[in-house]
Amino acid sequence: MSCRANSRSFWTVYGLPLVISGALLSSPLTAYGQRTRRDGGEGVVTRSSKDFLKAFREVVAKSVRSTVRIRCDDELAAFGVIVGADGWVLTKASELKGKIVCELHDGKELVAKITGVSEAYDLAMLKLDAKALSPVEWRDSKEDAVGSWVATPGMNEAPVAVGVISVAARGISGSELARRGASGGFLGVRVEAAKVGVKIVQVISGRAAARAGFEEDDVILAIDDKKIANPEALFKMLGKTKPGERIRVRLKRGEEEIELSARLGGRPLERGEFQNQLGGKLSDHRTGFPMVLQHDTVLRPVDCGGPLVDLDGKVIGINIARSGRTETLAIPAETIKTLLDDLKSGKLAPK
Amino acid sequence: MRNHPRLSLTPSSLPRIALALLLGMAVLTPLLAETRPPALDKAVPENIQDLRVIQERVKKVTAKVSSATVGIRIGDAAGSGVIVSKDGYVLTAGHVSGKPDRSATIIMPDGKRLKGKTLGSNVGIDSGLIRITDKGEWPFVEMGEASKLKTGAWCLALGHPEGYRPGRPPVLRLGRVLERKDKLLRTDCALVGGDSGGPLFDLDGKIIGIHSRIGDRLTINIHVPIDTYRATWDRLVDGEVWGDGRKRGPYIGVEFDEESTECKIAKVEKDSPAEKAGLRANDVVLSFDKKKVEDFADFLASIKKRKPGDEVPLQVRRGAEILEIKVVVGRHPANR
Repeated sequence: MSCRANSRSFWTVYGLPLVISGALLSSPLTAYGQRTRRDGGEGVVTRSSKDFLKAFREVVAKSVRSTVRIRCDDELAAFGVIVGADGWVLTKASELKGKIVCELHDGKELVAKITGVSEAYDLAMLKLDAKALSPVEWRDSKEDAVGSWVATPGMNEAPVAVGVISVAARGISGSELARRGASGGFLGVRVEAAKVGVKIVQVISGRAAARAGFEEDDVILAIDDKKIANPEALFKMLGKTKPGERIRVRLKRGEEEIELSARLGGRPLERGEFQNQLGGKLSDHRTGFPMVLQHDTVLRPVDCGGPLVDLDGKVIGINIARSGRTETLAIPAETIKTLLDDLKSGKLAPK
Repeated sequence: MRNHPRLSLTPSSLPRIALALLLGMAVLTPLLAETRPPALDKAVPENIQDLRVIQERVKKVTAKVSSATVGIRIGDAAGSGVIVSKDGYVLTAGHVSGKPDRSATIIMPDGKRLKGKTLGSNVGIDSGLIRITDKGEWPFVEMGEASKLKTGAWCLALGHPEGYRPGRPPVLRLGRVLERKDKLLRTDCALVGGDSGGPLFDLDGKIIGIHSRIGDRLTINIHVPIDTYRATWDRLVDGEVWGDGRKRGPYIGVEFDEESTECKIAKVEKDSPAEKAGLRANDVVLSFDKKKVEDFADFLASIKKRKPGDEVPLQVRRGAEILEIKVVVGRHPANR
């Protein structure tokens, strides 16, 4: 398409165009952007500047006492939230490893033990040998509308960062979870639902399916003898595989049924994902949470796991992931409250 | 003359409350009628009270403008847009709307899907327009003025990062204007693929920009200034594509016989204005609007002076006959 080619010289001056190409398995990386040197704004005090964060000292004055800094094997890992006076701390599970040490607001350092883990929400309950700590004051996130300020307290007087609520707490649908969570081997086909099986509408050149001889209009019937009924089932199945693994795929081609063996590749970075990396590191575990509150605070992955407070200083959630260029996700307070007992009691004991 | 909403500049001398009534924007009145709290314009919020004032305004604006912020799907590509008239004109980015006359799907915040058609775009500045073709009345927002913005002004970005997702309303980001030029606004409202074409609002809930592109830092988010949409409204509505050397000038769709010393037609393009007028291969054009045509270059120069839509009488020799043929000048197809 000539008009697109013509426009490249233009985009390279200012950056990447923001349109994205549809389906998950199809979009190739289209990296036609150049680094630019634009930055700052003549003297504008942005949300990330120290001067700006000062205004939020009062907002986090109380919650900083309920925030702990977590280091694993002496490395910065996450923040944590004190949820019980007798040493209960909630944090992001997947950042934990090795020897876990919590630094309290007063500077005291204590070794922690994991007592419970919620895999779905990526939350871990830690137990410290401590008494008379200051637990957080929860508030249902739904009491704060979209556009409300949120602050992430750290170990200092001013918060680590601030932002606003971008999207109110919402449940993530099963199919979106399946799509977003897909992380296994990469087949390299674009598909749509068919009466029986899953129809291939595009075979991406050079990828596993193309190398194995897949063709457009082939219908995937089964993988490794397991029936594939719909695209979701295919995503789920591929999600369990690893790059380098071989799968046997039974296909219907015209009237014939054939079986091909494909060696799965690694998933290429999509254009959307590529753009999401522009602007800072993202959490490794950043998708798949069944209920999330989305805000626009710019957080480092190691600054997740701690409380998220509103202007009244009430804790409306726990930051669970830096998940994209535009988004940070928190597990809303109302969801956390339903998990606390099970995480403490050992009902959700770590594996 | 096509029917489209008048979106002319409003004289700034009018008192704000009168303005609100004049526009019939009853919803907007509470926002505009109150005197603007100083906290909204401070370089740095000083305390929790200042933050509260900003928060209340941001919440109010978001609640008001979300309903007009839409997702757009054209073929395999996903972007965003914003409705600016009751009858369904949708502003978007030029690289989202692309060529004119393509079918587009407009996705309302509640997931309702509407049919639409792409109109014009300025490829250079990246402005684009789409029209909802389904019958109905749609929620819309007003266009503001980017040229009056000061750097440091608060702004709200809405849109659909990574494309529309069922159950997720338009996503809010708050930032400040970091740089303003005639052809672009730069803010720290973080954008990503799928946001393209989405609206940037000021604290009065008026559109000041349309999301266009990003750089590798969170302070490089580029928006098309809204003023260009107003200034080029008729061209966008007419489906013109221009800018970046891709002009869609006047056109009638004939090829000429280069061997001929006269203005002899070698080929008439399919579906062109020339074909519709009844011109044929081997016709020789003698005059254009009663002015004698010497050769092909002469004829071309005459066409270029006309606007698409103009009807022009031609005198044509076909065999032994002399014919009078009226041709309506068209616009050069976008894909050339």
